Amino acid sequence: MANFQQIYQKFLNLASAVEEMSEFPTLDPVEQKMLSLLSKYWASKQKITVVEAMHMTSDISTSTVFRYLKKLRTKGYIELIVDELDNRVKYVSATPLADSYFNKMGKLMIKAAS
Amino acid sequence: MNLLTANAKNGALCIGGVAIAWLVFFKLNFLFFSTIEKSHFINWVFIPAGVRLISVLLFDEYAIVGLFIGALITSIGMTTSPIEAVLISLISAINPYLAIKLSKRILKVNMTLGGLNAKQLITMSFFAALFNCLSHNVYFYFVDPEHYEWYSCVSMFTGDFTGILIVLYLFAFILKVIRKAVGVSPQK
Repeated sequence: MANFQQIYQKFLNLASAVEEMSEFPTLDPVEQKMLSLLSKYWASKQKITVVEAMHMTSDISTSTVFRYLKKLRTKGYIELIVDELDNRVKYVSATPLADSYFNKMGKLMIKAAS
Repeated sequence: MNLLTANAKNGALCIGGVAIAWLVFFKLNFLFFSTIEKSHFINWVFIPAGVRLISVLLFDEYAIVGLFIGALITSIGMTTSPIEAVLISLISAINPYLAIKLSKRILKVNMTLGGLNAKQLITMSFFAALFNCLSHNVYFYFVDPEHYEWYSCVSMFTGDFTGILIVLYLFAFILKVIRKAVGVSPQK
């Protein structure tokens, strides 16, 4: 039986999934906070190591920060760059996805303000 | 009797819609991507594969009939006999249904696609492309084992998967345009 109500519901759910494909990977509030804390370093062209990133806030434990750094890396927002002189040291760097994300946030902020 | 007529009408609409969508996208594929086709049945980009996925997700069994009719029409002139046209069209129509049914069960996606996310959708696309290339290539092998080229499986899979992604991103783009025009934000 062709139930158009059900077909429409399926269409809405499919549309939601399809739109999710073309958006940024979703960030939870902790990931958003971490990204904004890291952005302060990146904006002032400072290099930040993984160890420094783990201690950048007292609100979240270092092990939790490390876990979230891994999540951000999996989602493609950050990459770890090994130091040329000491390969034990890794710097947390923004990816083009992170730059696009900040760009979009900036535009949304201006839109909201206007 | 009225209910029966209404259901038959609705079913015919779904089937007709799927068949028409197949024909349109087949024509578009020929217009844009015929230069990179390997054979009549294998192309490096095959956008009708996206029609297969979306129609099965929305219309279930009605999609099988619609896809069969569409594929039969487009097979005319491309096959050596009517039987071959019917067989290839059957493969083309049934395997996406099986692929999506199986992947929905594995990914625990419910009947109305509630909670379907992008990752699951891409996984289903992968399954659909894989099922299609395997089923077609098994058929091609049994029909003509001497001239069968195993690497046609790779081109067919690539064509289907790329085609599905193109259609899905096109769908997303159209939704974005409509939302912008109407001023409605996406539902989450």
